[in-house]
Formats: sequence, C-alpha cells, structure tokens
Amino acid sequence: MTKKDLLIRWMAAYEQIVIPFSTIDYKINVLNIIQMIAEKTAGMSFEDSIYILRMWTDEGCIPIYIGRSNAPVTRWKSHLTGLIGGKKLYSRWQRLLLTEDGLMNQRVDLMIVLDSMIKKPPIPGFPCTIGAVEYQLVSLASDAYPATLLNHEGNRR
Amino acid sequence: MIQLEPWLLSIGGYSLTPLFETDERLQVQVKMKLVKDNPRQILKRSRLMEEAVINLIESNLANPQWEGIIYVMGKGIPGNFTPLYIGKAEKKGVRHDISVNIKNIRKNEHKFARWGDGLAYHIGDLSHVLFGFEGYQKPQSKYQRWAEALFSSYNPPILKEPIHFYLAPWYEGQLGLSGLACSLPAVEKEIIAIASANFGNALLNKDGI
Repeated sequence: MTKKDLLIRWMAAYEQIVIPFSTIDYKINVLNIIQMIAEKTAGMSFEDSIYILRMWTDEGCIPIYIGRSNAPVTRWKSHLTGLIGGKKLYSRWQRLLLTEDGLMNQRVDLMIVLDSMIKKPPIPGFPCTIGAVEYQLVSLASDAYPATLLNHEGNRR
Repeated sequence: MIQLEPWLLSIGGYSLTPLFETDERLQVQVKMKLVKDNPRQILKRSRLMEEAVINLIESNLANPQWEGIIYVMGKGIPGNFTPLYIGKAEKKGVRHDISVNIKNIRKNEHKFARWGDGLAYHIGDLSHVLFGFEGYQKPQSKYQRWAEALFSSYNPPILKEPIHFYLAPWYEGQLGLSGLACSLPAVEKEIIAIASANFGNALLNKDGI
C-alpha cells in the first residue's frame, strides 16, 4: 500500500465533518465557513481535533494542510484571516488558493476529525493518540504530495 | 507497538555522544562570546558531539543520495533511552543548494546544524534562557521548557542527568519506522509520532507543524 493509499483510506473513514469552502471564482466567505465549523462541531464531545484542508484535483481530494486544535472555530478564524492577508507563511496559502483578486481558484474543503472519533491510525502499527495521528498524516502527505503541502515544518526544501 | 530505540540503533552510521562538555558533577562548561560588545555565556557542546556532526556532514556532502541528518537529544542508559527532542537538518536549504545550517560546518559555530551558539539555534537559545544575556529577542518559552527539563541549576549550569545526542545520516529511499521509503521530513515526523505516544510527558517537541 502506498502513502497516498494510506491517506485516502484514513480520510475516507473519517469524513463525518466536512465543510466546503466557497465556490471557485467567488470571494471566500469567512463568516459562512466559521459558522459551518461552529454548527457541525456544536454539541459534539471532544477535547481535541485534527483538521485537514483538502483540495480537489485530477488526482482526487488531496490534503494540503494538516493541523490540530482544541478550538477549531478560533483556529480557523485565524487561518482564514491569514489566508486573506497572505503574509509570511500564509503567502503560500494565498498563492495556491486565491486569485490576485482574492477569489477562490481551487475547490477546497475542510475535514475535521474529533479525537472521540479516532479509532485507527493512518499508518498500520503506529499509535492512535491524536498527537501521533497528526504527525503521521503530515509525514504521509509530505511524501505523497510534496508540491502542494502547506505545512511549513513537514515540507521538504 | 513499534519501538523507537532498536530502530534508531539499526540505522547505519549513527553515533551517540554526550551533548554537552561536562565535569564529573554534570556541570556544563561555558565559553564567552562577545556579540556587539555584549558578553554572552554560551553552553559548550561536547568535543565528541562536534566531531560526530562535522565528520558525518563532511563525509556525506558530496553524496547526491544524502538528504541530511536526524538528531535526537535524549537521556537514559542504553535499553532505556528516552527521547527529549527530535529534529533534522536538511542538506538543501530554502534558498541554497547547501543549507546555511550545515555549510562550512567545521567553522559554522553560529548555526552548527541547528545546534549553534547563535540566537534562533538550540545552544544559543538555551544559553539565553540560562544566563539571560542581551539579545535581539527575549528568551524563548520553548527553551524555558528545555532548561527546566535539563538543568537542576542554571548558573552554574548543572544537568539533572547526562544528556545524549543521537545523530544519523538519512539517504534517499531509506525506510522509516513504517517500513516505507521516507524523505527526511517524513521520517522526522514518523519518529515524533512514535515518541509522542511512548514518551509524551518527556518529549519537548510541542510546536505546531
């Protein structure tokens, strides 16, 4: 099984919370995305979560940013503000996802996996703790999709 | 569960040395550096550690298959090794074919494969916390955690227990803990994934990725 296969298999098992971003050629609707994250995680039991920003390509739906947060609404307010500002590490986000006019130029969604949902690790035989799962996903994506992974530390030079 | 230590010891060309130059009471030797007319006390890396880093990098620099180094700062006796911090230094830099972190390694005391004396490098930042000298930034909270984990006394700097430095080369196509071929960034994350579950309380890798 390849690293792409492992990623696809793990993501397919945990697609309960998926938030689509704005349509291509439309301005990104931050309020709408934040509201959907809040609604889809409201009332759910969790202490921590993994989130995967995914982009639809000819290869299928591929992970482009992987992170972890116990407060995904707050974290994504920050990420989306960063994406629109395009400063420092977010300049790569902006170049990949937005046109010069600030319109979406990729089909993107956000997958959130709550710690209470995780029952198996992405890499067989590896630990299933949320911290270990986050590092496994970054490791796999770093080799499977090196050109598009936006995680700074997981990326090769 | 996959075990980290046997895997680390299975990698060809690894070395395990003391991280710091210490006396028999585990007091770390310091050196003085003058930076913009301000004196700085800097913790001394062990001579063995420096030789291991220099030898590994100089002997691999011309090898196109060589991607860089993996390092693990740890404690404990063989068979009971506890990783404290896991990292890598890549051969290729963000802007240069040879990273400034490893270029001219023999004289590169400032960066020294990320274990350099300068601020924004491990030894410099750790020394900054211990000795509180003037710098362009305040001592970093990450290294306050390091200092608390490693030292029983800051000035003089006395270690709680011996601290080791594991070092290994990484080559293109080499197999990681998963049994799959891994790039250097990928294998670093695999190692942290295993260590975070087995040694979560001791591990100092806490930063966002």
